[in-house]
Amino acid sequence: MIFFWLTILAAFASYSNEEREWLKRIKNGDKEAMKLLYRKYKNLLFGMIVSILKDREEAEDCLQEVFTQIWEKADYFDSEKGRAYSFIVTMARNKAIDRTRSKQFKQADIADNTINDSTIIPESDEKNPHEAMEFRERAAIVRSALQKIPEKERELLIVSYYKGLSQSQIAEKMDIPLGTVKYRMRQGMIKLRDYIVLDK
Amino acid sequence: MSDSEKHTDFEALCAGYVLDGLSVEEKEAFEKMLDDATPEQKQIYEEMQSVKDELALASSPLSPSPGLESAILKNLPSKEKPEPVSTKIFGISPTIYKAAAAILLIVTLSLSYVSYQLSNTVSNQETRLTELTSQLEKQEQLLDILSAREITFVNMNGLDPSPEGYGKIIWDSQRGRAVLQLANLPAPPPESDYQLWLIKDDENPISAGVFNFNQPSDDLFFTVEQLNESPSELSNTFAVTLEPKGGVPQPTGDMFLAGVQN
Repeated sequence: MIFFWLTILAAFASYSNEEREWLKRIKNGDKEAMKLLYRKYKNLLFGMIVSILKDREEAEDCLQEVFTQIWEKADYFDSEKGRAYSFIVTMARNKAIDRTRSKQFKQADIADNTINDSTIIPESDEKNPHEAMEFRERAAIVRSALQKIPEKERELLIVSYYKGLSQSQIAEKMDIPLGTVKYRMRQGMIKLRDYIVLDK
Repeated sequence: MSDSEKHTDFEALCAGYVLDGLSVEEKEAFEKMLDDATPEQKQIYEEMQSVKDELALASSPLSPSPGLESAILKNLPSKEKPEPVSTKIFGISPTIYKAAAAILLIVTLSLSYVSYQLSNTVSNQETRLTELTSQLEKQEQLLDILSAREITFVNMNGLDPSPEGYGKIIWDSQRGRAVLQLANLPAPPPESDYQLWLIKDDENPISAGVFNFNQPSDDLFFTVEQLNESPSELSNTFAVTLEPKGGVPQPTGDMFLAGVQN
């Protein structure tokens, strides 16, 4: 497990410093740093938000809200407590999931029971031109790890992360016992962690 | 529940927790578990958080509209700190109010100090006045006694307990009053008083009063108000003894002073 952390740290060390520095500058109102952060994260976050909202226009609106919040909440980022990447990605996911919980969105989404989505876990090994260089290697590892875990566990993790559903909501939506949801979620996360470590 | 079951339970709740999938009760339960978690469990928690964040990379990256960047940067709210809301009252700055309050406080403290000093001075002056009044009364009494037509003057010398002591009696026998001077006598113990005696010829001593003081001195004067005795034509002896507090009918203690008027 120590190896896992050393690997993670090594992977992030090269660019986490610049992100920390950007966030520090953003705290002080530096728009140039904001531009750099936007250019690095825009495709990753936009892809993730589209996967959640399934609407480009809505996703662009959400992305704008996310970066505005990063601008306003940069003071809350504490590099001692977490990574800049986690701070940004968590903020984006929460914003997008919050939108799915709005009344209007629920009405539009009511018939959507899809689990698999072509925007998630792309099968192709071709390099995506929209993928930032720094994220490309890590994304490949995560996608590979997801492909290695059992399909039922993978579906459950994707539904949980990209739809923001609770375990009981997943049990209801997928029509499986709650205990099975808990078991698969645990197993899926542990296997995913182990595969990410192995791949690294 | 065995350690292994507890560990499995922790992992199951942990996976649900990092993915925001737990019920409110489960979330609270896990947060309690996290407070008491072992280092190994804390590591599992951090790893699962990290894995959860990596799930963002599972989606295909997509480019937003080119104009979004400038729209975002253009619409960023100002980071300048807002001007503090004016707290001026009647157009006067809070700084001036603070300065005025500080000055008022200093003036109040100064006046309190001066008042305290004056109060002490008045108190000291009152004490001094009382002392002076007492001294004046004694001197008036002394002069009154000295102005009598006939007075009896008796010197008393120190005896063994206090050989350096001495005293005087100026006795106005017509009006039954006398002045007693005591000098160089030690202050009597708390439970004792000095008692003055008149011994006429060989008769039993007659008490002339009890006296007390805190500080030895050579100018202690006491007024003897009731010495309604006629002096003996043969011999009048005055003596001072140390007696129990309040005095005794007949002398019992050590004699400190004695003098005879022949």
